[in-house]
Amino acid sequence: MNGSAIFSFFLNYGLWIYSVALLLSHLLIALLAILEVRRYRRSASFTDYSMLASSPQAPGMSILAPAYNEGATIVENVRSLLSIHYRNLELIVINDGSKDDSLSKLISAYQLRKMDFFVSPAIPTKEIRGVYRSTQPVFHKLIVVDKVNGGKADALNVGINVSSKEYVVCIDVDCIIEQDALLKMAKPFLDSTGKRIIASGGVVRIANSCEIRNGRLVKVHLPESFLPRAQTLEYIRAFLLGRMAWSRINALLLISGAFGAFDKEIVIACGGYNHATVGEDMELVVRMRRYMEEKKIPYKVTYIPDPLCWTEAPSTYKILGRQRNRWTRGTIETLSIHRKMCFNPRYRILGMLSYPYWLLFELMAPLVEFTGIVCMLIAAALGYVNWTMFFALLGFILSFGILYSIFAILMEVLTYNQYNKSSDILRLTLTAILEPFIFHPFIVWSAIRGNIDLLRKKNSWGEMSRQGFAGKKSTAHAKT
Amino acid sequence: MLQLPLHVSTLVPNPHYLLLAMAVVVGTLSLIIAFMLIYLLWKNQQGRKQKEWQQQLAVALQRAIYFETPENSPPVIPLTFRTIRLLKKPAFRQLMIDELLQAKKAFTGTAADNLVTLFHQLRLDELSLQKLRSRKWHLKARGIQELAVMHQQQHTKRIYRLTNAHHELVRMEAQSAIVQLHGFEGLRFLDIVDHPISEWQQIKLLRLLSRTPGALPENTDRWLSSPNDSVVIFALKLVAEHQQQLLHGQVATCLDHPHPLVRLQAVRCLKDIYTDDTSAVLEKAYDAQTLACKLAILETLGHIGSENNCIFLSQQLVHPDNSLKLAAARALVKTGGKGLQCLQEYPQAYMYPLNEIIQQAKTEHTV
Repeated sequence: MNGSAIFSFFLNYGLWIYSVALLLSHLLIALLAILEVRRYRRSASFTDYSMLASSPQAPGMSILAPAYNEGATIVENVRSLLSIHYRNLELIVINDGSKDDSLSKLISAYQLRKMDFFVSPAIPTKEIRGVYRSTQPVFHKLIVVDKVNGGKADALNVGINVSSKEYVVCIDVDCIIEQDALLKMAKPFLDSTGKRIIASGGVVRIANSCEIRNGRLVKVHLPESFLPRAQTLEYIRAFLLGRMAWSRINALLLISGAFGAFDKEIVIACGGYNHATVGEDMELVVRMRRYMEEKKIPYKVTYIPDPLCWTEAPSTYKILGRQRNRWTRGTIETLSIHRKMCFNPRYRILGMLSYPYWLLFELMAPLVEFTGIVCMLIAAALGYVNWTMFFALLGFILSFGILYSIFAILMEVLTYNQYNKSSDILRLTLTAILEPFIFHPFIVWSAIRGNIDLLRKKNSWGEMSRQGFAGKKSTAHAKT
Repeated sequence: MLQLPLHVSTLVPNPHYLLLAMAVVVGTLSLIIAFMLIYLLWKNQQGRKQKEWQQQLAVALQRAIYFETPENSPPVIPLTFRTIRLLKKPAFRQLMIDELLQAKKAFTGTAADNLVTLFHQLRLDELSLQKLRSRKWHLKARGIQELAVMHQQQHTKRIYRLTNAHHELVRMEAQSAIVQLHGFEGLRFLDIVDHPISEWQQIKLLRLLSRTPGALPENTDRWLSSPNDSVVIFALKLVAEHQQQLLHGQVATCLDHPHPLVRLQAVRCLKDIYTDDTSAVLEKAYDAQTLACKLAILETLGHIGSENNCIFLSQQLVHPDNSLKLAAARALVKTGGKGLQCLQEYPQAYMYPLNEIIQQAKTEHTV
């Protein structure tokens, strides 16, 4: 076999085998998701969450909300978070060296006063300039920490150090959290008897075009513009199918940074968030799992399919590209830090399934796809392409991708049915058909850019301008 | 042309097969789309129908609630012809059960008794029993829940057997049902349960008991020595909630229990049933505990301690763990004048981190 023959062999058959494995993994994910969502919903139908809202036995939870230049919306966002139904709660807002008037707005709106507050340096962080509490008893749950800018991970680590409760709930301050979200998040921690629940995630949904009043979601609408609508479909697929399936087999590697609850003791034992990566949310979960595996402590990471958190999705290609570029770099960094686990039986399902899946099908998929397209173009130019075969394969792959999206929509309709108008479902279906031609190529290209940026050692978050639910523009977390 | 090994060649698709597979996929997705649209139409129609039924049921339930039993004749709650006709539909019968359950939770006395009468009159208990006999766990659990809310004590034996069932949700519903049916007496399932009782279930049981008249059984102490650790933890919560000072001695022995969570709960319990000896007991047990337990002891000493504990608390200020230092400082501040004096006269009181810890403890106390 000469070099070109080997290349041709891998191009033809390697890609074919890779594709078959990818399709089979999607089928398996769909099946596991059905089982897990069904189990959860049946079990939840017996649950009276309000029981926990008033119980003195409810475990303590600290919401950690890092804020950077959120002056336009910070007061409203904090008001919304303070209205969450939970008894044993503290809300810690970490002002990560904002250059705007976020802190002064908070001080004036909540009548804050700088307090003597000892912060145990359990996790090393940047300097804390002050800790503020309200003089009004009605805001007694609120703690505001002002610190030197150090990025989201550093801000969250400060929040962990300040927190006095057993569990920390890390959120994006500009997200809208459902009123009963913490009651639902607390349940897995209280339900478990044999295994220690180290983290629990909640489903994040897209809030673009939804009706928001006084920091609360009043009515759900499908996003009007294509880009947020495609992300709505993507989130349904990722959360209702992907995360639920991985949760079923206790092999989940990622809990969204927008909304996740963690066992504080384990977070501190692992050293908190890693500020050397832009994928700090995934890295923390992987590190916590690795820690538990190495200590041989039985544990579980759970996921709740209920829509608990609503976020504004990027509505321009520029911002979306930055976001996906960062996600790619975060994934590569995390997998690189924990490469020891790859196919390592010591880490059981984590090393033998989760890690290889992320490496082969999450990280490498855009690279394989991009390489395939480039090779295809070269082969076409040289006249080596069997066009019948090409179109048959392309048609099958595209139709299977669309089927997977349609199946995710079906799951949504049969379970939470947030978009309950037939016209909304038809628009979502149309988005599923258009997505492979418009949205997906852009996502692949952004991932390729992420790979290139990482090689160029670019490690910034990138500015993430948002329109804001009230139409006010704000800039999300950025490390300067 | 490259010659492929046989096992690889067999994997290579034929374009015709791919087209066939694509046709199957396209057909499937067309079917799913059609199903979703029909399902949404059906669901919206069902929603409207359900609203109509609920109005119908509201009238029936209202009649039942205000029904007065005639003398010398068995109670028969009158229903409209339409309701009786609709009761032939399984969906309507289930809705009737759901609405009865909701109403039963909201009423007591004669109104509640009338709702139970209606439940029997319509033989809905038979439906609940059918569910209880089902092999599907969610139906079994639903049946238990329905019978418990409708206070069907005659099925106690059957439900009691399930309080140690293998399936967690069935077990939890059966335990809750027994407590709903028999109050504190129902807690006898704690004698037989092998499976751990989750914290969630403990909260649920405590809530049910808080609404039940009566007192803890006299032999509650036997659960404090149960081989099931979760039973011991739950018993400690019961003792604390019901202020069983007489069990102080047995609770104190739990501080030597091998399970750290039992020891932690014992400390919390002692905080609620403390006597003059409690501080000394806690001080003695302190060194052998986990960090969480030590923190709980220091917090408890802050609540129940006196100037006698100042020396012990001052000793904890040297501990390398800052959270223990802070807990000890808080406890000292709470013990009063001598505690504050101990803090201020402590040799390292003006050095970091103790200076900041003491300042915080003082500020918190003032606020």
